[in-house]
Amino acid sequence: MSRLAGVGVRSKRPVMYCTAAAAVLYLGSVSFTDEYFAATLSQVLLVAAGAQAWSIIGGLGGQLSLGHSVFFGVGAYSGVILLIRYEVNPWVGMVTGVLLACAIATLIGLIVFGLRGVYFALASFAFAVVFETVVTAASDFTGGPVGLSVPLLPSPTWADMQFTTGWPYVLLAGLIVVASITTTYLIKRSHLGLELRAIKENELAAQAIGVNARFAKLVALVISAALTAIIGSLYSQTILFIDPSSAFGLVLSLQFVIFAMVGGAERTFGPAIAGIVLGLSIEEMRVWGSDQGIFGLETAAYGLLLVLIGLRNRIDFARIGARIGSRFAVGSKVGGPSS
Amino acid sequence: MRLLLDAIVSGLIIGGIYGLASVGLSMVFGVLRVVNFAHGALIVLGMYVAWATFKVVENVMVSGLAAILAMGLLGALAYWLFLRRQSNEQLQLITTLGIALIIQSLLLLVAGPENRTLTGGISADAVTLPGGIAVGRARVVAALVGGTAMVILGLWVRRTTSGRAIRAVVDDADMARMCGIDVSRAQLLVFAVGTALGALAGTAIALFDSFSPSSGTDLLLIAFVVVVMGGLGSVAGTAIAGLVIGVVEAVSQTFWSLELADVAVFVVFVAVLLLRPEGFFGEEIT
Repeated sequence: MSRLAGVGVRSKRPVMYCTAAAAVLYLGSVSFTDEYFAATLSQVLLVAAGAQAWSIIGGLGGQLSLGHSVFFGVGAYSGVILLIRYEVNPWVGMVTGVLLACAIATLIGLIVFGLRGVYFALASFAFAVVFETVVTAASDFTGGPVGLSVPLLPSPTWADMQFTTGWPYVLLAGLIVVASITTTYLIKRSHLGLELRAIKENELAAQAIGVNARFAKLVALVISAALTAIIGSLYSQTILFIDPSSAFGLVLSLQFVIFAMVGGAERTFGPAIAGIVLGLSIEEMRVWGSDQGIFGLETAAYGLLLVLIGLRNRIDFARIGARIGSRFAVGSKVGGPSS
Repeated sequence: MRLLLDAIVSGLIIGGIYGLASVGLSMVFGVLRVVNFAHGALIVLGMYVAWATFKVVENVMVSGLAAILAMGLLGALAYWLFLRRQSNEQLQLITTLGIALIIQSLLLLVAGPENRTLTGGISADAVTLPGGIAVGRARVVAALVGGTAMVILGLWVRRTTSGRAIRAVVDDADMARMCGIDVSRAQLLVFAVGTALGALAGTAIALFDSFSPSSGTDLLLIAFVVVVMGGLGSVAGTAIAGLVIGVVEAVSQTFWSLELADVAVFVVFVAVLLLRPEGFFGEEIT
């Protein structure tokens, strides 16, 4: 067995042990009656689910989306605008947002999926920037740069998607994490999953053996967009507020990319787990930074992570994890090849 | 009619500087096959270098020179540190995104979120062009700087040995390597020159417009549209597409909406992608 294959075999379990150990340590240090922690956790879970949803087109399909915040923002704004302006139930608003996001995804796909290479990255980026511009400018309808707040209800029920404590939001966020992971798993096992793998390896070759690359990429993007819109809708209900930069901002799109790639964009659990671990750590760092009066630390951290991901042929996260992990898990039984 | 003419002239003037701001992106794509997402942030960093220099010496020429030199060196350094060894284009793109975020957050930390400008560097009175169209002096200077720099760049790429080497790498990097061209050196050179020209363009824009650490995203969007329209890797195409985009933006600002002019630019982008994705001066996409 080659050295490289050996690394692959060892890499999976130790990383999981490490993650589990870190999670136990972290959870041991927090209080579960703490509303602030509930709010943080639900937001982190939602972004982690977004990373998992991103990985469907970004990882399985190998199409680098730099504008997934479009779908997130459309989901978030649809629910809130329908609720405030037309008193539509937020669950109905969520469904509307999902449909809108699917339509936008189809539009983007029709424009660029006939082309290969960088065009999808460029177009998705441009869509996100333009949506932010339009939503900021249409202030009569969207609240403009100030954003929109969801009015608090005196005695909310599940039907209102509003709760008196933060924990039901954590539950909902956890459910969407599970749903994203399940979707990834099902797609990986499906015919579509095989087609996406072929396209990722070599698009021309895949087309030559009869794969409709354009259609397969489109389906993957629409599924990913639908999940991301649900996540956006939940997000705006969780924090009861939405504004253009938090809905459509570049950093949000990049969070999905970073978490998915650190966790392994083709893996079934990787993006979500990396999203939770990194998301909580960076949030802790951000809070620490603002206590010291240093703002924007998290953006710098995301930038640093992106540079590290870009240099990955020299710095392999899985390998580093394996090296750290093997100290804790000496003698653990090895499974099959990881990918 | 009068309004339209005014809009077209001011669009051509701003378009001259858009070409210069975008040409680095186009050339870097030509030699590296990488979309440099850090280009906008590097331009903004150049603006801050010029601004900081201007505060000390109060001379626009010196500020511009400082920005060119500093950003040329930084561009070379960024290429040398992060992009030289990586051959996967998708990962290189991700690296440039990281560089952009780091620059943006450092600027926010060091210089703060306030809007800055170099106005006052050049007297604010208007210049009357033939036909009685009045334009701010700073804008005219910016357009002249943009035009001159593009002509010099074009001559360099056409007429000199290093320019020919760069064009060879744009055509076919493997073949160029086989002919004894140092591809890595050409890439370093292009990254440094492209970033320096971006800084020059940024300084010129700062003469009449304000900027903040987050200005990079808007500049980047315009640069993307310009280079895709002009054909990725083509200097002449970038210059012409810059003018077109400048006019589109100015006309929609006059007749439609100040805030939504970006949307018109974006519509042009989608139209180019649909009708002629290789751009108007680029090679056919295979």
